[in-house]
Amino acid sequence: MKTVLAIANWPISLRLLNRLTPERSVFWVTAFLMAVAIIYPASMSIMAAFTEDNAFSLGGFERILEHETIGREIIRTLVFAGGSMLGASVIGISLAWVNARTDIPGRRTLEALCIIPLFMSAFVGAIAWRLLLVPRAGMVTRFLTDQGWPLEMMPDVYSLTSMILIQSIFYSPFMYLYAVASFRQMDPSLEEVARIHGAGQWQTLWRVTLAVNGPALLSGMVLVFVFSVGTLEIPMALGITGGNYVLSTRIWQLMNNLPQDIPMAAVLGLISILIAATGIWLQRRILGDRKFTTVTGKGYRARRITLGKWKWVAFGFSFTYVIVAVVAPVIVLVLVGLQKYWGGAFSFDLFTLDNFYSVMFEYDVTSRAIVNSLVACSAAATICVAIATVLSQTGSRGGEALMGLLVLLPIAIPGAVFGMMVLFAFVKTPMYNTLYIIIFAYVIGYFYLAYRTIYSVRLSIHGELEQSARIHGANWWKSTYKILLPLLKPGIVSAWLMSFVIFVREFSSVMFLYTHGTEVMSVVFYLLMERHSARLAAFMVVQTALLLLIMVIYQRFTSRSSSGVAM
Amino acid sequence: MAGFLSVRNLCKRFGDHWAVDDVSFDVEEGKLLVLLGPSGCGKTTTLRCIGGLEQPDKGEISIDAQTVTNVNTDLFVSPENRGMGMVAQSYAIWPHMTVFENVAFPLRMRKERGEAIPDRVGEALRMVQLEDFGDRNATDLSGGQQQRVALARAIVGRPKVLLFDEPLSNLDANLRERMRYLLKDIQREIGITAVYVTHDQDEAMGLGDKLVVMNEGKIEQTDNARALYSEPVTQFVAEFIGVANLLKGRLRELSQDDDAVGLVKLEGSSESATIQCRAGRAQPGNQVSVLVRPEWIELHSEPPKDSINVITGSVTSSQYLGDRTELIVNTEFNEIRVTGSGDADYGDGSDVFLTLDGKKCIALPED
Repeated sequence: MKTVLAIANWPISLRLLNRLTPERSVFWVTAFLMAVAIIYPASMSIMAAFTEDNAFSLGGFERILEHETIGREIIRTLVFAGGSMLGASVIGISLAWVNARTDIPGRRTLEALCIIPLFMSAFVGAIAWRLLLVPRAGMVTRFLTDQGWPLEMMPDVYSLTSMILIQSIFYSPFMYLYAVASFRQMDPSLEEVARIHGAGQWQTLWRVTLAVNGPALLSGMVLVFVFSVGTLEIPMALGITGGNYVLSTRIWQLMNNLPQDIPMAAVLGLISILIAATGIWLQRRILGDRKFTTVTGKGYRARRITLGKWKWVAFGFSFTYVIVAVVAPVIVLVLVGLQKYWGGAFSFDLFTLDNFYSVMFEYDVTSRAIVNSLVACSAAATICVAIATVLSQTGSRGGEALMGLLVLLPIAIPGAVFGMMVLFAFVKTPMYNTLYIIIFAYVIGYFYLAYRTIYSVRLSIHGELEQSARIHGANWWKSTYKILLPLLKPGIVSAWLMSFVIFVREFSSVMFLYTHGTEVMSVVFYLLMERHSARLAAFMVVQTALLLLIMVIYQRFTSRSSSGVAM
Repeated sequence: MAGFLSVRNLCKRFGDHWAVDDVSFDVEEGKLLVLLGPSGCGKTTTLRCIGGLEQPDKGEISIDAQTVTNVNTDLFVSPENRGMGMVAQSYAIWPHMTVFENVAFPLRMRKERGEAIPDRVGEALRMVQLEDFGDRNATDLSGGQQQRVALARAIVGRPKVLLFDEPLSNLDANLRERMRYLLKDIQREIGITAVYVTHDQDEAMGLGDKLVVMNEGKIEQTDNARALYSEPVTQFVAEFIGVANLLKGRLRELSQDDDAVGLVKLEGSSESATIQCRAGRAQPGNQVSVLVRPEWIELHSEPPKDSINVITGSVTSSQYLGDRTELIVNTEFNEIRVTGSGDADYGDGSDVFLTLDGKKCIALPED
């Protein structure tokens, strides 16, 4: 009581100082550094957009207006991102509903299989589907040709439609995780009461299930949209060959082909950000502050919906998805990797292990890239987790608001554009052309994923647990170390593994940041893409195997600690 | 004669566990039946079977002479075609709709004429005293208000049967009591047949025209509140409803004057006593427990003149509660909880004499 009275008499500045507890200072310093790390590259690229030959210029804007195809490329970007968002939503939400709410057979296995594409690179998927569908030499096209299928009816893997479909397929697991978490959180009696009061199964699905989960689904959809605006993977693997440039590939081309046009690339980057930001703004506008999914305290076992004969339709749908997204790509990559050359079908006469041998041991970039990837990705994952752990202790209203912004900003910057921004930020520093900027891009671009995971675990830890440690004589550091960190451990481990996987597969930003000597694994894909498809396939098998191994560890871990936090 | 709602030989299995095991009961039209029991006794599962939210493994359910579930003939009417209303434990107010839309939902599902809907929704909201809340967002309401919206939604379509799944268990004690009266009034006013699930005996006794006490999937007793309290047929019912002192003994013989009265010999550690009480279903020679409610005991500080049914003991603790005093008395036969008048003042350790009311105490055969 005495101390309280004493503090009340202090001048305001001293009172503020008194409020600056260790946890608060650590939080604010970290948050400030993160804000700088996001805002600095962004401002550098705004500068770049208005600078030419070290002077103010609107040249970038002028050349865009004069450019013949940019208008079409912007529209194509919108179609590609919008179409992928819708496609991924239809597939992902259907898979999630079927898995979470119905009685289809083999749910556990299907769920494990359905989220595998999340752990594969979309670039790998695109290359695999190219090997399946490329005219004449594709495994599927070759088979169809042999069946007498007319050539003009062959699917064109380089078309915009194919790009959208393949992007949808590889981003569906993302929607799946969003939807499945939301469906499982929903109070099942919302549906049951609708049934009792006269709504049939389908009416209940539309008017209650999807409507109630709408906000959660919409936020997942916007993320897929933003990812698709900024991805280089499928636009590069399929779009360039078919002449279907989108903004990300155009930016990359402007930055990498001579003559470079930095101002124009920077302006296109700002346009991409504008598109992404519009998507996010629209989502927030539609939602307002609604967040429908209500968590029920009562753990009544939700009755699964009995599908009857539709069960096999639903099962067939999930099964087809697994074939298209996982099995077929992996098989074709393995087969192509085991052939001297690829003619559209596997032949035992052409069997060889040379591709695996030469890509792993003769091509010197590979071993360097593997080491670089392991070093950069584990370093970045560790930094991410450390930052996320500190930032999850927001503690105050101002802290919450700042974190909302810090999480939103990197999301709103599409991946390829972010790579370019980091390049602008560090081009004149000693960090340029080192592994450090790649680590920087990993951390700043994706720390929000680790943050969300750890924050949600943090929310479930009651403040009283720490407070009682403090009351029983532990100081801040001790209560953090002895109470908080052990409780956060499941969140920390899964966030680390998840970040590591995301970094290993990250492609779009790295394409702007690597140089001779700092190649990472996804760069090797690019380097091999036009040179040697059999070795490319072999290396993709190796990388996919590594990522799947981590996935198995991740699933083991999350299922054991039962803190399966969605990404 | 089968009632308006009739449940026959209902069984439901989850894995190897029979959650509901051969349950049968009838509800007359316009009456409220309570399914009462501890958690896990199968009462909610029974309710869900009636609603069509669970498919039973055996048995038959009919509403208004129409069979809605018959496992033998593979008949199962889906929930939306049973013409029922339901109030769920979690309220289950749809968060994306206004109060009005929530309440209008059952009418819209029945393709009711558009013009009639506002009137009927208004009437339902008036009955639950929320007439001005139609435009509110459902999520802006307090728990008690959400509960009333759920009730309005359940009655708006004048369902044949109203189902209540522990509707008051998430409310605080004060509100719970007010809602209990409101519920009773509304149910009586519109005369709907209702099934009400709860684990709260006050709620059950206050609301139910008939109570079904369940335990481990089976029915222990079906009766009205008075009979359950004064004449339980099993020790489980005796202990679940009200406070029960159970004194172990053996029914020696039935009284020669009145064979509803029996003499029970209580065996203590050093002495024995003979008690006269209602024999109930117990037969001479049976091991029994005599049920003695705390208020069926008269307290004396001196040995009473009439020494029949008197047990001696000493007070181990007492709590003065204004209108009454609750004591725990240590006797030869068991600890006995006694409710005395407010001014009964006994210090801890003081010797007391307990006269058991032989017209009320009842012998229950050992399970």
